[in-house]
Amino acid sequence: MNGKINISILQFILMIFGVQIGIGMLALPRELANKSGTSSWIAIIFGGIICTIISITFIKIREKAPTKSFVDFFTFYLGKILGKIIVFLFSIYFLYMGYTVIVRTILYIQSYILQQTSVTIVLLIFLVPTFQLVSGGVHLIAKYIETIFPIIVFVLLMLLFTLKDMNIYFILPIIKDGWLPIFKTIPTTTMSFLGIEVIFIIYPYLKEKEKAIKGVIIANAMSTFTYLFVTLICFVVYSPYEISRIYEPVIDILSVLEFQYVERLDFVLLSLFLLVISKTWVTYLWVGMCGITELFKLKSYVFVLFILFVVFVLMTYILIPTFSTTNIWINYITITGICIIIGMPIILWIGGLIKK
Amino acid sequence: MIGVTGCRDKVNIEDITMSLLLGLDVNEEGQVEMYMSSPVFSEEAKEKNEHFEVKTYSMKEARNFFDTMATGITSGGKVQAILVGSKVIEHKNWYSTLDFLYRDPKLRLNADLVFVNGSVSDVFDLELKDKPRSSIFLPQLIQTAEFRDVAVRTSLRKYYQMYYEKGITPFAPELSIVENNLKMTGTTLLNDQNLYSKTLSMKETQLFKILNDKVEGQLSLTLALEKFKKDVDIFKENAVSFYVKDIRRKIHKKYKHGQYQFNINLKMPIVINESPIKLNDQTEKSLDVEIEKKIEKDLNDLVSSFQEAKVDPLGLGIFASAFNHSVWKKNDEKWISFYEKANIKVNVEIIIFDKGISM
Repeated sequence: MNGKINISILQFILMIFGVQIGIGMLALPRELANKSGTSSWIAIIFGGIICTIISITFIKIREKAPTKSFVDFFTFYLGKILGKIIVFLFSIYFLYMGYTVIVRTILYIQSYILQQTSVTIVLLIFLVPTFQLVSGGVHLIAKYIETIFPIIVFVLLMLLFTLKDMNIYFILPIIKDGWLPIFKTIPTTTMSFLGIEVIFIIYPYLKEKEKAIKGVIIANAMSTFTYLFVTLICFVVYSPYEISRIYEPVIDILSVLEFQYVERLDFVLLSLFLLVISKTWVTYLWVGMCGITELFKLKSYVFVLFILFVVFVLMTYILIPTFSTTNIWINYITITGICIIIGMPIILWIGGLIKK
Repeated sequence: MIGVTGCRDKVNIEDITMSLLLGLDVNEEGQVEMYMSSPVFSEEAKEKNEHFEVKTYSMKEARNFFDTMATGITSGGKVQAILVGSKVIEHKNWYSTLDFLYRDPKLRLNADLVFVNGSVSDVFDLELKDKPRSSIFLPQLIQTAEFRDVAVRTSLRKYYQMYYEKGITPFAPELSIVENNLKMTGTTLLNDQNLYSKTLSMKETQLFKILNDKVEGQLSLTLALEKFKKDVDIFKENAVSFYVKDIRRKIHKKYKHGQYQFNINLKMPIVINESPIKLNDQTEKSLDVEIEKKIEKDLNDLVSSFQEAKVDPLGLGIFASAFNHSVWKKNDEKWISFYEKANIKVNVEIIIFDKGISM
């Protein structure tokens, strides 16, 4: 299907990388430090390796039916009814994930930049460009992600300036309390690599399919590097006793940057970083919408999207999301996500066996 | 309507009272007092500085009171320094009053924390005829003192780290009023309970900075060497002055039978500015040895005075944690009791790499 809409291998890599890097990065150093102290950065490498293996499995499974669309692929493996149920649950998961990320982002904006503005209003403003991107399809989203990729490089480079206050002794010795706590942290780090499940959906659009495995390896390596970079910088700048007291070390660390004419760089960089986070929710919402429209054979895609956004606004208005409630949502979602990325290949494999 | 709602917390710059200095003190009756000072940009006002004083326990509440008196809306985004009175740091839990500074993202965590030797109200009331307005002068004073390395600089962020890190005890610069003038007089050291413990003089502060390997500006040290003493008149001609360049510090750590041992080796390149003797290749050696001896003695005295006062501003605990983590982890609450008994030695190696243009 969709012979005309294609994305290049670079866009494929950046899309996976873009979905992985997002809201989770801001608090990651604290979460890791809480789990197993400053040695926990080693677990990121293991998490990265695990996710690379899972991604390669995804590609291998997807290669069996490379051009089949989202719904067709699952019905091909699992039969009509079961396949459709799975796609439906999958879509709900993606939409909910997208919604959670956008709400969480708005909470950050409210906490750091616009303290007096209500969440609903900011959500409305954010949904306008989201609407344009999501209704533009994979081509537009891929281009958008490609365009804003330099921002994450810029934000990461700015982090290097904070190293003037570093103390290398904060992370020494490298393995503080043995290997066991590090292994226990691997699930947490694996969660931060969530996003690889979109491979299932964007794979058919990839132009050079033979390079797909190389692509996922590069994407996962990029994410691993980014997480390692950020975490290590936070661990040498903050004392091990201090880091567990700061909610978002990655934003907070930037607040001390001051140049001759620019102060409070954290606000500027947080605003830029919002674009980086937006990649996550835009992709998730698009993927979710893909499933829903294909499943119910809906013709007016734009209208459904509009209805969905109205539901989002109403939900936000009624629920009044806070940091604690979104924490609970994120918790549920990441557990579901882990189940999906591990369970999906197994289900498909069994489905394939039965089919034979 | 939607478009303008984002601007609800918009404040025009003319309507802002920029609090550049904040103060915290305890008065004679034991009440907590908060101070704020901000520049006034009005041509009609005679005073170019407005300052307020409020008795309250919470700085955030104090801001409401400030707003009842100030020309504009008080904003903390440009805070330059927080002055804390010397009485405050004799009371427990004083640090909790500063909690809001770390919670509000709009506040500037680069603001300097300064301890005032005396009462904060004296600093705010002080009228300096030959200086710019105090809310601008004071930050400049801190900056110049730091450049000459006669004072340390502790930002709020840095203090937060020293407070929560168990391997270091906090310190911050000290400000005094000497003969109607503001003066940076040294460094206040606090113990692990975050209470006042000891004050370092200006000279000790310089040595402390050397020991801490935190020389960033221009550190010029003057020593009186006994060996070259002539004692004929009031000019004794035995002073040697030098700039200290990039210090290389190496700390050797050992742990044996419950006792830590730290050997702090400093390699110190210096530039001689002033010398009591004629310097050629032979005499240079003797001067080198004398400086080495003197500075080594001073530094060792300083370290043992730290141990006596039970303060660890050098953060040796961080080194202890880095090299012997299993022991550290069991005893991180009791670090100071280990530190007291530790065997700390400072070795200095002086390298004279410039002696000036005349012998």
